[in-house]
Amino acid sequence: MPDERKPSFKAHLLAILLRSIIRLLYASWSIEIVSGQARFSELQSNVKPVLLCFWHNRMFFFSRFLEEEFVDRGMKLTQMSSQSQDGDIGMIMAKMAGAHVVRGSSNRGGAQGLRNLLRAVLRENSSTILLPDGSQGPIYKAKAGSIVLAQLAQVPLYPMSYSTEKCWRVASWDKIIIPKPFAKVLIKFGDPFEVPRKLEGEQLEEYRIKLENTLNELGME
Amino acid sequence: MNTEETVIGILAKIAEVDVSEIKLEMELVAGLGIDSPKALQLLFELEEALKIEISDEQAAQMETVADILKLVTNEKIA
Repeated sequence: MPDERKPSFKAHLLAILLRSIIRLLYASWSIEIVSGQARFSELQSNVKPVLLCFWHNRMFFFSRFLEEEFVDRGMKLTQMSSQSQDGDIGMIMAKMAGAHVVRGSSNRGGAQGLRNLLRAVLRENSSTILLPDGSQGPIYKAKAGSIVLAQLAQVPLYPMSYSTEKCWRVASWDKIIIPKPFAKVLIKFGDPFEVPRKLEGEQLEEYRIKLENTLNELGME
Repeated sequence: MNTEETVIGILAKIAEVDVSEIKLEMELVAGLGIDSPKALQLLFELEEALKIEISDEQAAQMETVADILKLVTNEKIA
């Protein structure tokens, strides 16, 4: 659905600058998939929608990785960007990378954002990026929205993460990870899982915890 | 099928009750068991079926079946 507020010129400039920095750094990183190589290959050739899940602070690296390894190979990908000015920058960068964007967050327009993601999966056959602790944390705590989306869309969740020894940490709520130039980035794909359409009692919470634990295990350094 | 029948039909399907059991004064959470996942599904299906857009602020004001009907009727007219 169309977003009525147009991003500022400054947001466009920052997006171009940030994208250039990421591309430059990405070219220097040594990237290795240390776990879940079969899952990675599966995703590269997959045409059915999936929900790619990783923690918010991994977005810096994964934004370029997903573009090069999936979007450029034909994966239709949608992400949700918050309705803040930071979200504007994320939206512009995502569009430059060939991804589709819906607006919303867990704090403002979250449910509407989730509905738009659901629409992207069901109507447009698009995979989506889910940042289960976004957009305002707390860090490494998954919200139930990702599980609800998987439940309603009936497509698998693919947890993924990475670790790196040489990195900067931004002083934000999520301590954004920026691998340093020439750093080794070790990527891990977890086993995908589906959420049944019908959940009883505490099952929603059990799946939420499963996603949270899986992402934390994959991201351990 | 008119707007009211469409709304009641969607509600009955999501709440897993018969259409005849749904009354206008029923509360969505207490009366029909519409929890968060069901609410998301409900809003999504209403938007799709009636070709309307429901904001989170509007959704937050929906407490009863009558509230939904009032909102979607206004949205259809707008």
